[in-house]
Amino acid sequence: MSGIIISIVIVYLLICILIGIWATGKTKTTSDFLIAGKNLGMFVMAVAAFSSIQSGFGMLGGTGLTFSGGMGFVAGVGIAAPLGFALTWFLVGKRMWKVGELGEVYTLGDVVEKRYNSKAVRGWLGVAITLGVIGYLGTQVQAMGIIMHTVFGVSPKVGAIIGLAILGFYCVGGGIIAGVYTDLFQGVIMVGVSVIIFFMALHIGGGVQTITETLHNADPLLASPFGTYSILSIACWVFLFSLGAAGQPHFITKFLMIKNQKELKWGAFTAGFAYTLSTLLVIGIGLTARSLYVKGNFPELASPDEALTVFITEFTSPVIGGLVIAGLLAAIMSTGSSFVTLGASGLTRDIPRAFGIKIKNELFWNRMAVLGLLVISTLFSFYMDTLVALLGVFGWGTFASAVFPAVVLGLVWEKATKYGAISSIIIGLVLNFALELSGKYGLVILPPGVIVGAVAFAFSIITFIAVSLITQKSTVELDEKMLDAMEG
Amino acid sequence: MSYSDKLIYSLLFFVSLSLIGMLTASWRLILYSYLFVIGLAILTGILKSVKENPRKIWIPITVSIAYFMLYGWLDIMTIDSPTGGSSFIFGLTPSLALYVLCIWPLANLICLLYAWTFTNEKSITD
Repeated sequence: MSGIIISIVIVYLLICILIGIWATGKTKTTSDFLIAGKNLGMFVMAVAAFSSIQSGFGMLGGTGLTFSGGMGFVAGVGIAAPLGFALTWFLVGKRMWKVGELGEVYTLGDVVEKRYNSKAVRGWLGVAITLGVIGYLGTQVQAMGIIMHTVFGVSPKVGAIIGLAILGFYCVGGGIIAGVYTDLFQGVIMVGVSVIIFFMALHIGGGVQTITETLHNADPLLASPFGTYSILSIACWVFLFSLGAAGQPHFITKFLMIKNQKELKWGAFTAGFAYTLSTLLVIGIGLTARSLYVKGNFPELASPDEALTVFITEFTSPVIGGLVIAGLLAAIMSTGSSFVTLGASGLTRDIPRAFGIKIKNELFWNRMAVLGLLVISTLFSFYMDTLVALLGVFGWGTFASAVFPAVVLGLVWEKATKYGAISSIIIGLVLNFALELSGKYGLVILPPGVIVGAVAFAFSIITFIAVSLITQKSTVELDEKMLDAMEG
Repeated sequence: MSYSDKLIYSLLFFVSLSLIGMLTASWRLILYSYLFVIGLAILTGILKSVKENPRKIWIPITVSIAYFMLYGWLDIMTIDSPTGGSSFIFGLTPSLALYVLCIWPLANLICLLYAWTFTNEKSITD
């Protein structure tokens, strides 16, 4: 790998470390560690929300999937995500912010305990989030390993460990303050790099029409919006990735961090548009690399996930290559930082409090939990050989089905009950794991092309509403402030 | 029946239809049912505002209709050919152009719509 690329990546990593050191100085309390002292403005929050959603899965896996199957991934996930930002801001933006004003509300566990007056809901949600964090973080570890391997020539496992050590350094000290400000830095890199590389890729491919014609001549599906993917999968992705966005805990907890309600106004557009721009990298490189491959001008790949790194090392200058790799690391690390603080809050706050245990020196134990989660998720990822992208879908579906009904529907519907919330979390978790595992071991339950997460998500919503209706007698009396928050 | 009850029961109905679509491998049932859910989600977000000014119901209805028309058009266009024909629009096949130039930006327009509805609400406090 070129010395220029290595230098750019090292500078990028050093800036992340410096932000971490600055944030560590700012982190004095649990509130600072978990919700940035409730002091974020619109731009920081929205860019942090976008960068935590745009992950290694979206950038690296997305480019690989676009290379192998055309626009289908973008038609499903890429288009659903900006819509997801809009729906989430509409559904829970104000509601979450207002609930955050009702006292010490730092986590989704705090939100649901206030909403349902139930420690059990808090506990189950804590378990679901912790499991989802480990799974999802595993995808970031894999992506990190691939990038570090490409840049420094070390093995993917060693690369992942180096990257995670840096991530751990700034997250352990600076918590979510380090997370959101590195997200801001990383988000700006992602958007800038994506726009630049998009136009460069089109130029390298000979222009839009040349690329389209080449793909069309090879296979008309490659020049269609759905690519070679099943339209069934795309419909499932649209459902799961737009409505399910409001169930992503690393995203919706950021509403608790905004300093005032006015900051909500432009957030959806800022985050949605930034995501859209970052998708340009996936389309530009994915389709151009495929058209070059069709013409015989692109090397054979061991895995589609290599399409991006091979493209930038073979077809762009080292400066651009370094920036793109920094952008990729940004996508991975920004998502990872959100997850580790989220998982830590589940382990040190939500699960213990569900059993009536209040941990002393919560800030210290949050830091320990971040370390523990990094180790566990690294081990988890080393023993999963599924493609990075597929693992990402699994994590998203688990969160959507476990969190969306209990938190989002709970905040819009007065008749929601704790039994509805608990049963939807359990159904969401069980279905995701069971269907994923059964599919992996050859037991076909769903029609080909149907996405497991989407089925689990739909089931959990239905379960939540049905069980709440059956258990109406357990509806809690809500006070005026909570009712006001729920009204939006 | 309260407004929020009606919304939740409607959500239950359309999500159930989507689920049936998933179990029976019908992408149209999944997608078209979900386009109603998008409108319902937006209506849920601005319900307070709609109660004060019922005419604002046009916002979620328009969004759902716009998606219906675009996806419907795409559906018809791609019945015979996945590319919607052999011509090119801005270098893209017709179906890809519809997706990239119309369906994709609509998601961003809805984000802008949030900013607009936010501005138009009376209850925003500092």
